[in-house]
Amino acid sequence: MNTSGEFLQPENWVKTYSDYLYSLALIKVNNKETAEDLVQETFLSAFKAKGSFKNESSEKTWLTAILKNKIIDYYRKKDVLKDVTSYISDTETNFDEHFFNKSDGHWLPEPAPLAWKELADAKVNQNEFDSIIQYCIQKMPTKLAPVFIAKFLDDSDAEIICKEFNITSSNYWVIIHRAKVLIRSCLEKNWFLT
Amino acid sequence: MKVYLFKKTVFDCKHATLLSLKKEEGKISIIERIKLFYHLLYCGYCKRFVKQSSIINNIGKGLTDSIFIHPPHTLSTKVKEDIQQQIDNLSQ
Repeated sequence: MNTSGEFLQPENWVKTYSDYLYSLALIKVNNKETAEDLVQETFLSAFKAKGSFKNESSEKTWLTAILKNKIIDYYRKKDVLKDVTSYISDTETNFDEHFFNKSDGHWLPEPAPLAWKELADAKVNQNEFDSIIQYCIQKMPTKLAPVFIAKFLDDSDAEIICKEFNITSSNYWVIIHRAKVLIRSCLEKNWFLT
Repeated sequence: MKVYLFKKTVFDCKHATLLSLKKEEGKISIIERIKLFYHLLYCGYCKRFVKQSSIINNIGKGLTDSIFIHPPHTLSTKVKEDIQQQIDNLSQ
């Protein structure tokens, strides 16, 4: 290992990164075979493109970015956000009624945010906490999850996400809002109160 | 009428939580910012939502690193060997 800069070490890629990339892919596409294929494609594309690697990013960051692009291609090919506008309007009443009072828009008593316990335990039981987060992401409606994950995991800018998924900014905000309300509530039920 | 509309939008938690997410990303207009400010003055639930939302964002930012340190899923040995084989073939 060179300490002053990062070299590409393709002979160690599988050993060092395959479980990591596979786990990331699995969270994003929620299908084992697809995740396996994506990891394989990532390594092979990376190997073929290793001449274009610049030392300014780490090997890990570089491979992660290649995987991310593969996943965007996959989402596009599968057209995961097909008819998202009608999905949003068809499910609006159902979503609203679950969380907010119909007449005045206030939080309903049951789903209203409660005070959370200290975060300290999250650090202690990191593995358990991560699996709760993944459970909450998995439970999210398939039309909401890809956009939310792009924001949540990769912290991409709203404009970039809208372009990647070919959605309007108003759809973006509705998706992010619903997803955040859902994941907050899921984490509260499964972690912060127990 | 004006007062009614103001109240209607300012007292609406659904609307306020959406605005708070726009604010997080720095994509909020001045009028929206004022509405949110007034809403949060009296609404403890939404104040909590704002705080918890930012906790959730921080969790998300740390998640990729934490997945690297402890990958929650393992690629099967067979698939790993296959991929390694293909990389080796390309290296020759």
